[in-house]
Amino acid sequence: MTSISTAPAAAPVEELAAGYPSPLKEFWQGFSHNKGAVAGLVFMSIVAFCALFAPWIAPYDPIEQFRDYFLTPPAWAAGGSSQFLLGTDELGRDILSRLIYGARLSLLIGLVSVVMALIPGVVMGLLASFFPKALGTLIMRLMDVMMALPSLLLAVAIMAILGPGLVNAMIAIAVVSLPAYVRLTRASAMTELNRDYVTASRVAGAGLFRLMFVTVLPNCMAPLIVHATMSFSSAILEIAALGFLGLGVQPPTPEWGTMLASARDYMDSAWWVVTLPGLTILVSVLSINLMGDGLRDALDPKMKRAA
Amino acid sequence: MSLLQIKNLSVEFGSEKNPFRAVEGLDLSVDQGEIVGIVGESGSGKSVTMMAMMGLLEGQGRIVADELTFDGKNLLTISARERRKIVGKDIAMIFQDPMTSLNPSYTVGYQIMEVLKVHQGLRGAELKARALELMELVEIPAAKTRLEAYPHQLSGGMSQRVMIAVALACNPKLLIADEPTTALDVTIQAQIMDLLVNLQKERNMALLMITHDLAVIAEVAHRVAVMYAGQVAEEGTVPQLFRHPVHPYTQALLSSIPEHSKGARRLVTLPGIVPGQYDRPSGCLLSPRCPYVQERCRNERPGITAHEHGAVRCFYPLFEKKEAP
Repeated sequence: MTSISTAPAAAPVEELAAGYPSPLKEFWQGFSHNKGAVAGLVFMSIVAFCALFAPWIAPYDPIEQFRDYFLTPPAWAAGGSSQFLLGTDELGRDILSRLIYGARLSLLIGLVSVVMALIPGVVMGLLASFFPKALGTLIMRLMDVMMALPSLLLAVAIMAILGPGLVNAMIAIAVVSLPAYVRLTRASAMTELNRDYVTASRVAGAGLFRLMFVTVLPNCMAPLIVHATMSFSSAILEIAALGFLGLGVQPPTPEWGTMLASARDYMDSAWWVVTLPGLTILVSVLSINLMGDGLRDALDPKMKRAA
Repeated sequence: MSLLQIKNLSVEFGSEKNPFRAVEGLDLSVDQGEIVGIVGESGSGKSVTMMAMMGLLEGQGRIVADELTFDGKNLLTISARERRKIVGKDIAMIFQDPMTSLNPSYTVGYQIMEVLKVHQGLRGAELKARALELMELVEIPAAKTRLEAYPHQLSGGMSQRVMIAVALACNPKLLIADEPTTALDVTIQAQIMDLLVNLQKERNMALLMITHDLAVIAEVAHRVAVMYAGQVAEEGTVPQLFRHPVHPYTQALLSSIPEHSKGARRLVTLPGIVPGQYDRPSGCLLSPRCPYVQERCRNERPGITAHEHGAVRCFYPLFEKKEAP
């Protein structure tokens, strides 16, 4: 039993001269703690820089064919020439230039398909958590059906309906990754909905729209950002897979997966034609995944809220 | 006329066929400038009553009442849009756990200003000044710096002060405090209670205090309602009810306060637990636990009857002091 007749609120006099660290600074402290994540960030920044300034960085036009230099090995290998740093492919095109231009497409596809999956995914997930009875059940069962199909098979099926091409490939990848976003958003929104601040917000007179997007959504963002990063890399892999199957980007447009596919026949005679695009995909995906790990460390709500 | 008037309120959960009555036949009125306490064990329906009143149970519970008016407006028939206007502005609420009742994604200042913007239409410098004023009103030191703080950067007591600031932002006529000090330690509890009571006096608000801490009620409230299993067991003015409880449950509650058992080796307890959904007795809800139980109590449910100092729901109220057999 407590007595409440004790001292008046003698607030301790304290000085907060420095103020609070900005959330951005706090985030960077968490992120930079993970060295792998920083390495991933550096590599992806380079790739992004190359993609943005491709016309100025790339030594040649990616579809220009040098008839005298079919399958030239990279500069450091025997028979290589310093004219083509990473060698040329079966049609005499500079591989370095094609990789640099290919980064444009891969990043664009990754970004667009993530955004195309994220926005409807978040909206559907929030709706499912706010109206768990009829609408929520409908949405979640639909997502279950989509998750029951192997993702590449589903993507190929969608491509078969829509026809090959860059935009259709992005749509296919977005549709395939949609269920994960819906489930993730719904799960974290459900936990947040039980917290007092949501009730407080309702008491303060917040409408449905405000509750969904202003009150609850920002608190669900941390896992979503991490997942978006991860699915960015899987989008790059999937577009490469679709390109390899001949359903994605059509030649001669430079794209990493398509480059792999067309180099298939030269695997024995000219290793660099297939190895270099393969390595580029590998290192990029690895970097993005490392970055995702770092983001998770920095944005983990459990670590953040233990103030 | 009372500010808040509730008559015969019932809240049901579950299916139509097999409903669970979380609140049953509840009467309550709160006047302007009055502090009313609601006490009861966990699960006695204290919070559900408040939720029902503010329309926060939509889609979950069925609410039936003879009368549910606030400031002359009927909350039962009002549209959701109208209710949001009243509930946000004239009724405010403080919650039990200050660590989860502020939105972790926004700064404290933003959360205060949001309410001011929506309900009072303040903008710019005026808005900022008012937010700072509110922070100082609830005695937050270094208020200006703390406007920029996120909830996880504040302690529990500080967060509760911020919650009070948010609640007071629109000068509510009724403030509902749902166990405002339960999650805080004892010294901070005292500070927060002092603050609440001072603010209540200053602004002549009505304060509805939900708690299971009898000392808090004894100290600050004018009237108190004791709830048991969704019903008001006894209602009365404060010194009277604490000195001469007439309902066996109230008497048991008061005698289980540790201070009353000084010298005794064991604390006085009321055996048993609050009946749940499936084991409600057919008679008086207290009958399985009541030390004074009679045959009639096991078969009939008592209604609430007014007496000189309040009202009681018992066939055999303890107007003369009796010792438990």
